[in-house]
Amino acid sequence: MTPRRAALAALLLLATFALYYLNRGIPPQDQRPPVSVGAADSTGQKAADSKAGGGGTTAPRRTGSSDGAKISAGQAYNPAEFPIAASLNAPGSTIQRDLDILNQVFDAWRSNFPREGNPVGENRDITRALAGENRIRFALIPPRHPAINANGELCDRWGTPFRFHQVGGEEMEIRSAGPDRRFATEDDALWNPVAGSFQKTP
Amino acid sequence: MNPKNPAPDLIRRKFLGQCCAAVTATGMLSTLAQLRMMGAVASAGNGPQTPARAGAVNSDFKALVCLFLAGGNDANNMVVPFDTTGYNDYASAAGRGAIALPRTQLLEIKPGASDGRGWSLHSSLNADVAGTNTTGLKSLFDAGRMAVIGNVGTLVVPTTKAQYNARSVPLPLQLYSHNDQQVEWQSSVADKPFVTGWGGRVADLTHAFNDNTSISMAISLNGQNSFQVGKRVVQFAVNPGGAIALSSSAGSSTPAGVRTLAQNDLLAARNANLFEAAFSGVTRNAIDDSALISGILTGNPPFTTAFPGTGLGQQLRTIARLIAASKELGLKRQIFFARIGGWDLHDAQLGAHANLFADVSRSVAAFHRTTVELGCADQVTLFSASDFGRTYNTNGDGSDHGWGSNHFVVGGAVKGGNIYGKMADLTIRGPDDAGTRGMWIPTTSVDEYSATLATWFGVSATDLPVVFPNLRRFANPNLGFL
Repeated sequence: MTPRRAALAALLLLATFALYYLNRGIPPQDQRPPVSVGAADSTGQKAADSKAGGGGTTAPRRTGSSDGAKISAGQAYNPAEFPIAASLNAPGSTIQRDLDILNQVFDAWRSNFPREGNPVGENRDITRALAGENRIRFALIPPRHPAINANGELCDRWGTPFRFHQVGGEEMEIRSAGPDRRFATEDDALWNPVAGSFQKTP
Repeated sequence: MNPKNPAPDLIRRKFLGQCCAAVTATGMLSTLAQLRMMGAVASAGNGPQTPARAGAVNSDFKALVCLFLAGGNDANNMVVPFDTTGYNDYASAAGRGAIALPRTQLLEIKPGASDGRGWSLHSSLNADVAGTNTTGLKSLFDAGRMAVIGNVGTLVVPTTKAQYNARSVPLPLQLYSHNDQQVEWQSSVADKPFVTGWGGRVADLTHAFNDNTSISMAISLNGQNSFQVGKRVVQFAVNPGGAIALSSSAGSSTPAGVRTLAQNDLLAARNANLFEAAFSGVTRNAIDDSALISGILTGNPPFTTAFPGTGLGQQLRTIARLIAASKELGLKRQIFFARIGGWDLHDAQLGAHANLFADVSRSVAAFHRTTVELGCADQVTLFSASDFGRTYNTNGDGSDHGWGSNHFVVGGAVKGGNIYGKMADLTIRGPDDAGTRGMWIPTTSVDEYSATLATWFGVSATDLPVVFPNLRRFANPNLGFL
């Protein structure tokens, strides 16, 4: 092979790798067991990270994107490493702002997992995925965020688990039961993914 | 320049040129394939003249009707445990709680084969047009004309709870998502992006049965859908009130008439450009099909059975009319798509669900009765499909997205009065629960369910893998209900 051809082949190889990593978004990590979210699941069993890392002090560590952080057990984590989710349910804020934040979280998820679409399942499955239990262990919400209840569900500012309505791989409708904590009442709040906007809904 | 190779640049250029040529050729072939497909549609000229209406279908005629319950039907309240233990678990707070149906209202069924559990149907599932509530779906089950298929859903491979939890087997793309699951149900390919629907693939294989290929054998009563997307057969959308008018029959003195004349002139013009010619041909045929079907759907139908005035009732009534006209149309195989929405009942489920079931029972029973009247009940099979099942556990006033679900098949050829497949173990967090709320892991795949229907329709065993590429992964390519 001539030096020119070798250089060309190397260049092509490099370009292929560059394209692969750009498309993937986040570089692959090790294949350790996923870190569980929340203090306990609904069967009362303690989550895996609590066992491994000393309960509530178990901490993930940021290594990645500006939207969130790569997590690993045993490392301290800084809420500031989760700039989108940090102000979710913040005192003095509004449910409208909270829903907007969650929509940004899902947007960021889709950017980081472009081939997979939204996370799926029950609230706690989706929360787990957003909090780092995914193939690249990338969290967009701190695993110990105060909005996550003991069942591992992401809750609104009144403590009711959000309803994640999976319309499509790219569209997630998000509903809060509102201050009365009952769904399908006048104070419900909804993020409409088709309109891309917040709305109050009966 | 390499002395051993006097013209490496030339060779490299040649190589690159060949690559480019290959890419271009592939694109051209693809384009030609598309043109061929369009040409097949366009080549039939102006289509047949409207034939005289006949009274019965061909003896070797078959029709398949997909009834899509859009939004995700809660089949946990369609087929309900009836034995004392099963019902008590069902009605308990840990079971369905607030959305449990009263046992006294349930319609007990006695399937031919028993899994040891007693079953019943929702009280609205014997609703009929006459209002007697004695000739609806439940009576069809009792008469052996309706079968229930238990816990069907999208699967990539047979999946156990342990495998689901460990994610050790591939799972359907975007489980629990409306749009994705609708498409996967209609494509019967749960692990790849959508290309064609299984109804379209069946049509591609069976349209040769038809004497007349100028009119589509795949007709949708609810607009475009994924189910009927094929590579050769193009789906044709019809309104329940008749064909979608693509031209006007008004005289040239009216604006609509002038527009039609101008449109005809444009389509009749000779086009040097292949795409323009193909487009003109396809449009010309669509207009002809539209006129032909409008003619068939005008006037009184050739049957007396009354249908509900609902959207679904009118869709199925139109399908019955098109089946009645199949002989005139020169069709021995037809595939229809009907759809009823409103099943995504996260809230206020009980009342809305009862209304939907009553509509389905009235409409489907009327449809089946019409096929009996037309003498073709054995040649028409209607089957249900839906996005997914729903959570067994209530959210307080409704249910949320689940996975496996029960379905029904109706027709004279159906070996009814029985439950096929395997009903889910209705235990929250039990062996069939993918989560903590009763999201049943399917025990029968959409592939097995659909392949059974396709086999009855005429797809040979050797062609089944063409239509259902993942079927070989599952144990039962024929569930035996037809």
